[in-house]
Amino acid sequence: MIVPRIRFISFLFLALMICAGSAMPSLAQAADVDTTYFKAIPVLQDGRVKPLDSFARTELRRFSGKDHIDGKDAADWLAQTLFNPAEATQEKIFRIENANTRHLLGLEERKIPLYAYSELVPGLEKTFPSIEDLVTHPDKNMAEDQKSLLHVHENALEYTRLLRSFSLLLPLDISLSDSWRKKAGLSADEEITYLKLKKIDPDIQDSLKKIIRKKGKDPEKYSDKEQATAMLGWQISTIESAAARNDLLRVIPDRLSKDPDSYLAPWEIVNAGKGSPETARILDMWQDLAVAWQSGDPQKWTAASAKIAGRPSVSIRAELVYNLIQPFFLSTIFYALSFLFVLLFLSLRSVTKFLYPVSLGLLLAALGLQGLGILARITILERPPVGTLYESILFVGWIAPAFALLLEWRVRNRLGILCAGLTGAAIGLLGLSMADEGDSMKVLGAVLNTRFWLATHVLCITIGYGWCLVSSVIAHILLIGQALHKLSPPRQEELRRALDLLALTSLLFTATGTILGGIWADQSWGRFWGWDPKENGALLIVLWLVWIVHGRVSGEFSRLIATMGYAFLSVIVGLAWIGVNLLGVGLHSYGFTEGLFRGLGIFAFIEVALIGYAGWSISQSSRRRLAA
Amino acid sequence: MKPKINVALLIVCVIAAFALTQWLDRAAPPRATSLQDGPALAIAARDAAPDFSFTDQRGDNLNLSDFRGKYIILHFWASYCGPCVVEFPDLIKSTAARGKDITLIAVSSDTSESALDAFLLRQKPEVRKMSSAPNIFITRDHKGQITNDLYQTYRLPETIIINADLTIREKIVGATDWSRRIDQIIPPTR
Repeated sequence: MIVPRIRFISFLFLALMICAGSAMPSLAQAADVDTTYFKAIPVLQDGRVKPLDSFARTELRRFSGKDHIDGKDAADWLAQTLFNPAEATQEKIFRIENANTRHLLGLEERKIPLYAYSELVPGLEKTFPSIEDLVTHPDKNMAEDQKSLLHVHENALEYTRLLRSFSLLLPLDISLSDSWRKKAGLSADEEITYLKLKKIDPDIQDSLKKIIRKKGKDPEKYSDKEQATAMLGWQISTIESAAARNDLLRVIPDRLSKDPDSYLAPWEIVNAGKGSPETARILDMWQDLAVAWQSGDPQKWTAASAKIAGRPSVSIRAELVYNLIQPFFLSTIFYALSFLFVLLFLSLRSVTKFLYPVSLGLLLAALGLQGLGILARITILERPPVGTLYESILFVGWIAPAFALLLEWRVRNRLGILCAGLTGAAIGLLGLSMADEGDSMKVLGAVLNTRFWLATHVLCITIGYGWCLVSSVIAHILLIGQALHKLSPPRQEELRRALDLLALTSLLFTATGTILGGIWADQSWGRFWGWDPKENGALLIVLWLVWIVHGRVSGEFSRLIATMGYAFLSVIVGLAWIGVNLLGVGLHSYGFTEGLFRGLGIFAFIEVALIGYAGWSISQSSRRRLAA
Repeated sequence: MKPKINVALLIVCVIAAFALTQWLDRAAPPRATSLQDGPALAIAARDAAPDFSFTDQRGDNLNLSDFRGKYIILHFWASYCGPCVVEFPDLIKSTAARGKDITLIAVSSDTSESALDAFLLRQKPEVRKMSSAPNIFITRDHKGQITNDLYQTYRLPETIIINADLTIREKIVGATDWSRRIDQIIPPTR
């Protein structure tokens, strides 16, 4: 009997490893230059000051779906993009999964659909007229191919803004006559940059006016020197128009603003008149950094990047450590291993007694890592960690295993650890699948940005979700255990008692959280209840629990029906928590995310089939026993 | 009894948590996420204004630091800049009237002395007369060493208001109605 068990467990182990491997961030090779200080430079993006490391990861993930490329980490890629844009455009970083989009853009088919910007340019130019039509249509009316094409154009635009972030400082491939060099104060071998050319722009414009007055606007009639002057004027205006409204890379502290977290993009200094003596000094530091990168001088690079980074703040340092450790990925692995080992222990108890303490240790490590990750997020964002859908998943993914561990401490039947490992791994995988959608640490909208309601209503509801999920897993264990005749009657009774308590606690938190939500809605939106999908979802959980609990108490529901009802909480919570966001309507649609519809549907179907089959199997067994 | 105590403890913890978050929220109000809040004119971080030398319209060699003790309006402009031309007379009149506490240093980016002189000659007689007021200094920075290198000015007109202790008070980008706003920007000293 041991051999089939081992085979089953081996397959389970393989499946879990495959799931973990698909979410695994591979370790990028170290860069040739030390990017430690470069990563710590603060940048303002999406209303939040973050380290350049996070900015680089967000941008690279946006283009390629990963935070590393060709063995280089995101910071290394960003440095090349900023300081060597010509070479950077040859890097294959644009992931285009849609085959029709690749065909429209005239791209060759590849095993891994990654393309360089230089390869995209001809296709982007060809398809630009159709994009202009598309942008007038709302998203929901677009076909998948159209959305994909628009997405590529948006990414390309973002990329060009990144490429041009420091174009005012980088050497230009422009020939300048000796007289213009002298006027600009440049020595014979000094590099020409836009900022240096800009100083002589009034003189160039003056010369151009004289040329046009004398010879008209036809450059064919100009002398070589006059043509060179006209070309120079045109080049300056081309660089300026290419960088118009380029405010992506806000790395220069705005000392003239009363907001201490106000940062400027380099081109804002020129375009928006935000320059000051301080920005002149800072731009010089960035120029030194660019020169150090281009010359490949690691010492100068380290010195220049350290000077710009200065003393990083606590939240920047916390975020750098958070990015390095990736606590939620590691904790998911540990949850999965804990689940696996306790499963092995329960199956091969007499052979492998050490698996239980190992499993417990892994679970504690997972909880510790995940807890630290949540604490890090609180430190970085300076608010409770439940403001977005992703954050609620992280929080519930910690609460549910923690409650399950509490249950294990009370009843010591190993099933608590099993439940903890399963919920932690499952919710962790869900969280990892959502982590790729841009920066996971977003600044909240005004209605969410009140600490009191974030800490009370949202925490209460998410704790309620956690209790509900633990109840559901315990109910599943009870159903599957009974169906497979693996649970003794005392163990079944133990689980039923635990389930009754868990259900009541779930009801307490979800009901309280729902009422608090109504009070918050009344203060923020002027009404207690608006039949918003999220509100309806929360009410659904409360009503479901009330129905099952009352049905059980009144005797209307048998134990089996009640257990099936508790097991189905997983679907109810899934619908209420994530499903309503798929609707994308209502005041709560700040957590809208694509791609989960199919997953949720498959999950609900599996649950209905599993719970239905287990219930039928148990009722058949009972009937046979009674008949006997 | 034990379950009842546990429930009571739970209720107490919940109430305590509510009270704590309420107190924390009142003690530290949420930070604004918008960079645009507050009045339009920003107050600078009191950076020192870099010193520089210049030659004024009278041919005198001067330094910015020579004017410590008075507010300084450091105005970057050029005669080929439309908004600069429009606001110039108003700026001259407004600062000439506040000779006791304001100094105007108007740094022109004109490419030639003749262009600057021609522009000044085109002004009305009262403006020409006021531009020679003891607190008004007009200079040319054709190499961009003050305008571009030192003060990072690339859009004209730009004006930097400097405190009497030579720290930067604020920066104004674009033309301004000086006759209406000079007293708001630099309150008169009593």
